Amino acid sequence: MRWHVIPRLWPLVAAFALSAGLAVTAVAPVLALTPTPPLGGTPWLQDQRVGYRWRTGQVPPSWLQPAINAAAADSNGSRASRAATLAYDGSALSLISYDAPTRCASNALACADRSGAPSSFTVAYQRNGYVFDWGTLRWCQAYTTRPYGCFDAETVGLHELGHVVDLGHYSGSVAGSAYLDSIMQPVSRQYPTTGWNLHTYGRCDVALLQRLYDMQTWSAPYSTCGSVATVMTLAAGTAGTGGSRTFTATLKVAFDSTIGKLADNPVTGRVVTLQRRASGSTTWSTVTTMATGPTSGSYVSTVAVTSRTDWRAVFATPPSEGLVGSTSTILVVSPTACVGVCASSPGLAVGPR
Amino acid sequence: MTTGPRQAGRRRLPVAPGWLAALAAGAMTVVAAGCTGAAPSSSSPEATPGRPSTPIAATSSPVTATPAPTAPSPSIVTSTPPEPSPTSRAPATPDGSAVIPSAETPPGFPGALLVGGTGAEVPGTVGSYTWDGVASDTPWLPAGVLATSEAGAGDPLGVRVDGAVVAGWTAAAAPAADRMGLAATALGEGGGPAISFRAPAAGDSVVLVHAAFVGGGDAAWYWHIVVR
Repeated sequence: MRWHVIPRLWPLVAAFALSAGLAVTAVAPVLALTPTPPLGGTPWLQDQRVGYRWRTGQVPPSWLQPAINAAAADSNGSRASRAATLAYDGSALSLISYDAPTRCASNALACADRSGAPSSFTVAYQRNGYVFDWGTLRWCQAYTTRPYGCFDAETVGLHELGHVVDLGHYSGSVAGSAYLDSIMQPVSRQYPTTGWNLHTYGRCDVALLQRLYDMQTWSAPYSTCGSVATVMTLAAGTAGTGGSRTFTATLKVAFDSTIGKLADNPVTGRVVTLQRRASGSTTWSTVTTMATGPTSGSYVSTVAVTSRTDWRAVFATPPSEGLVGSTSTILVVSPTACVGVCASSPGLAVGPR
Repeated sequence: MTTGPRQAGRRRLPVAPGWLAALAAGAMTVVAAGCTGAAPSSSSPEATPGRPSTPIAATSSPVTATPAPTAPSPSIVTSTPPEPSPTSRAPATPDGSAVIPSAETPPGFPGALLVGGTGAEVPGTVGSYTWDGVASDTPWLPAGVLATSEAGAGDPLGVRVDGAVVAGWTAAAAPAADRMGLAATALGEGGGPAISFRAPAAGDSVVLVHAAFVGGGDAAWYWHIVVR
């Protein structure tokens, strides 16, 4: 399956993800955003419900538990994909612990282990007040007035749960202001640095989750981090009363081995226009905006064809999502003759240009 | 009209894609500590998300209700004090460079050497990384805990990574006094295995190099660079 071509392209994805970084500074040129790279390992199933509980003997304190649960809700609420959902479950295999983490580096404030996926994961928080060589760890939630340099446990929790759902580290913004594009920064941000209390995945995190786990619906918007090409096709049905014809356009994501589960997705609920021009003309005019068709990604319009004309369907690149617009090949529809491959149609002839 | 999620039978793999499984091959040898189904905690299972409105006890008790933080509780009532200085500095060697504190990375984890400046090779201190299915996260590391290298302003610097092939990298620097990397600026970036960039402006700086590896994983390494 197409998944198998992705690992060979992973270095390219990672390289692009990295090269996108530092783009907002004066030193580096502005480059296109690319999705957060995957952490690697076995993904969860689509929409898999993954429970977690507190590790016995290392139960997070009462001020921390709500932040962790909020981070899980943040992940569920901002995944914009069919990534696994996370929720507390007292009988779950996955464990979240506090103090004396066993899988963290000695200088880490938190860590995650997803090597047990798709069965389980672990997340560990270092304890508040722990003295590292880099300073004393302070979780903001442990204080009624947050101290300078504290870490938001919900933000860090979302970052760790991002690792759990297979997000690696995004390095595109260590030195820039674009760190809002990803919560998966390799530098944990402290109050009051920008992004210290992000509670949603960034668009580049969502872009990877969509590639790994697919869209929630065919009408859902694609992340604006990166671009996803589309393909438009157009067909005309047989002639009806008065020369009317039903045109059917189909819009889908183009096949691309680097976009994982998004390839070939039907694209529903977009604005697709049907355009016409007189044969020999170079000027197109929009006839109508096509209505949603009976199948996913299809759009239909019935119009009268009274002379030989060229027809095409157009999906313009939308400004608010990552899809790239596309235009169908041209259909020549004539009541008296047909150009190219003709459709079986009484009265009118249809064929691609 | 069908607008719902993908229908059964349409090209989707219900289980681990082969490429991801391959990436996890090493990771799967690591047993997730504690994932053995121990008895559930007796703590409240579904705590309501939200922030505490009263002073918080810094204990691991699951349902501590009595605030009353007492010394040496970390609870404080103002936000004015800056984050404390490092509690220790890397010990100096006879030639003035620092010894790298161990970050206890996993077996086989790549190392990085900063090459340039005086010509010496100076090992980097690992911050955040992902490796074999494990992610470990740190803040910006301050100069005091890092190995020190010297360079002239604008000197070419390189980083050699041993144990992994670099797929892409970025480098950034912040003044050493900037303990959170707030003022970090880019030094360079690249998509190939070679990591090279110019030393920052004169003064004490912390340099961060973040690299992603072919086949998965990444690491952030830090150095303290004294630029003449």
